[in-house]
Amino acid sequence: MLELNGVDIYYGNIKAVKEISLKVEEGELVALLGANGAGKTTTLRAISGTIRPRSGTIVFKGLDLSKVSAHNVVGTGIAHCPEGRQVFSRLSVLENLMLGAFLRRDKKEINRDLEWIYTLFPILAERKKQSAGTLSGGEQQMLAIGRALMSRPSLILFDEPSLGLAPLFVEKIFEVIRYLKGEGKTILLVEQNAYHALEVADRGYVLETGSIKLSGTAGELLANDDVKKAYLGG
Amino acid sequence: MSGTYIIQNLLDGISLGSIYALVAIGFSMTYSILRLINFAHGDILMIGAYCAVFIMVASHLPLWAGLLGAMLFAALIGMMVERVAFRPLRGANEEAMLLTSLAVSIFIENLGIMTVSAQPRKFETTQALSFMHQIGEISVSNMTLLIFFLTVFLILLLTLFVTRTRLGVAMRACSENLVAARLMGIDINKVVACAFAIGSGMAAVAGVMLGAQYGRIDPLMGFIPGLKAFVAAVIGGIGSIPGAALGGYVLGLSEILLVALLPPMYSGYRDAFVFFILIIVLLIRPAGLLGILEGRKV
Ligand SMILES: Nc1ncnc2c1ncn2[C@@H]1O[C@H](COP(=O)(O)OP(=O)(O)OP(=O)(O)O)[C@@H](O)[C@H]1O
Ligand SMILES: [Mg+2]
Repeated sequence: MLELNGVDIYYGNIKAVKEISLKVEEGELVALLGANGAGKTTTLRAISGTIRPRSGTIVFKGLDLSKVSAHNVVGTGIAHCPEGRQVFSRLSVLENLMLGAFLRRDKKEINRDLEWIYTLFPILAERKKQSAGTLSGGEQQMLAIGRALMSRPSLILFDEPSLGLAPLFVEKIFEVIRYLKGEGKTILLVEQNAYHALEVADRGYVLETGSIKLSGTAGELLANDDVKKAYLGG
Repeated sequence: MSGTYIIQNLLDGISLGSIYALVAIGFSMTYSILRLINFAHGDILMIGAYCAVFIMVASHLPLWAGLLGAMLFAALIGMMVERVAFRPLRGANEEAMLLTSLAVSIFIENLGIMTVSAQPRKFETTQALSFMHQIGEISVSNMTLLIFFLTVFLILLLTLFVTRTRLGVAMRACSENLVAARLMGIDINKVVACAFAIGSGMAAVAGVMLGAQYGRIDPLMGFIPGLKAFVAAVIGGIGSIPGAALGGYVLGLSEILLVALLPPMYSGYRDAFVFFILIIVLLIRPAGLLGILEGRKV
């Protein structure tokens, strides 16, 4: 469904991602792991078009994404739930959610999805008139996920959705990710929390200073000594 | 000093404040999205005023037709300026954009001098506008009423636009976080073009009102109002639409009242008062009256 091939990404003259190749098949949940600064966020940005690779190809459902401008990527079925949530804090919760459906015209279906988001995250229904900036960090993360889902994506990119959240919220977020997988969504999940991520993932890649160091099924990675040492605390 | 005198001046202040508000709103809109300090914004006001005169003189159409034509033409020019001068600078630093806007301003003013001559031109409108309503000892002209109600109407319309329409909400999203806005599928270029169109249209209204009030226009007439609108936008909290409107009125009212209340020998310092007010406001509220101090994520 999604395939990156030999992708190089630069910030100015600094090479942040070096010739990475990875694949996500339809219905899969793939974890992208790595330490701070490994290039995980950069990779997701390249997929959603907010940064352009210098070389290599990114193909989604047979479509060369280098030919799609950033604001049209979501229209191809990719939703990016960005690092640090990036909700529109001065806009209301409802406005944030509706912006997720910005390119959609099917009003009835949008309303149905909105109800679905509200059952997934009842707190968002309670707070729908409030400005997003007044939500707690965990609630904002739910809003960011809800907003991403409102585009009715077939592939969702999650960038550290559990970062900085209280354990209760972390559980909730992973529960939702598991549920989305059950719904047949394809997911590329970036996480620091490697143990949690590999628990829900089918496969995983480990990035190290911009290159893919390891890849394999979630079980293989969980059992791998290097992974254990670096990310699972022994 | 009588109460009537003060009320009379308050009315003048409201009318001047309306004009500042109209210009400041457009200024603030494009700033909030692009971080562009657009010194050419005042010149759009001048283009609007000339456009209205040409429509009214050449085709003997009434003021409202001139006003409408001026708004449309100015909106078009505003979008063109953005396309030609500012879009190539997308992602450039704020200083580069500011300098470009100065260049655009000088270009428009000189183009104006070359094409319509530097000589002031008469701006004649219907007599009905100068009709004075007497309420006790206070007199209000139709002109003052028109400026005020037109401004309030336009501000309400704009408020409805940014809160009730898809494009309007997208515009607010862009002013907060451009990257996230693009992730939503918002075409930034469209939103920016729209902000320029609206802002320029409102500046044109201010230009026509200024022309109608003073009875004459010239190619440099936009410079001072543009500068003051910038000050008004900063006073109100740059980037905030309600702030720009409020800043416009605060500035207009205090400018007129200061001139009215201080001894006549100080009235020459009118434009200096404006910056004095700015400094006072920023000392008390560094982000402006309705502004939020923020580092935007880009
Ligand atoms: N806007 C930028 N300008 C310059 N360099 C950047 C920029 N963003 C990231 N980098 C650099 O690119 C490299 C990869 O960063 P990236 O954000 O992709 O890492 P990450 O794996 O997401 O890290 P983290 O776990 O901390 O989020 C880092 O060395 C980082 O310093
Ligand atoms: Mg990151």
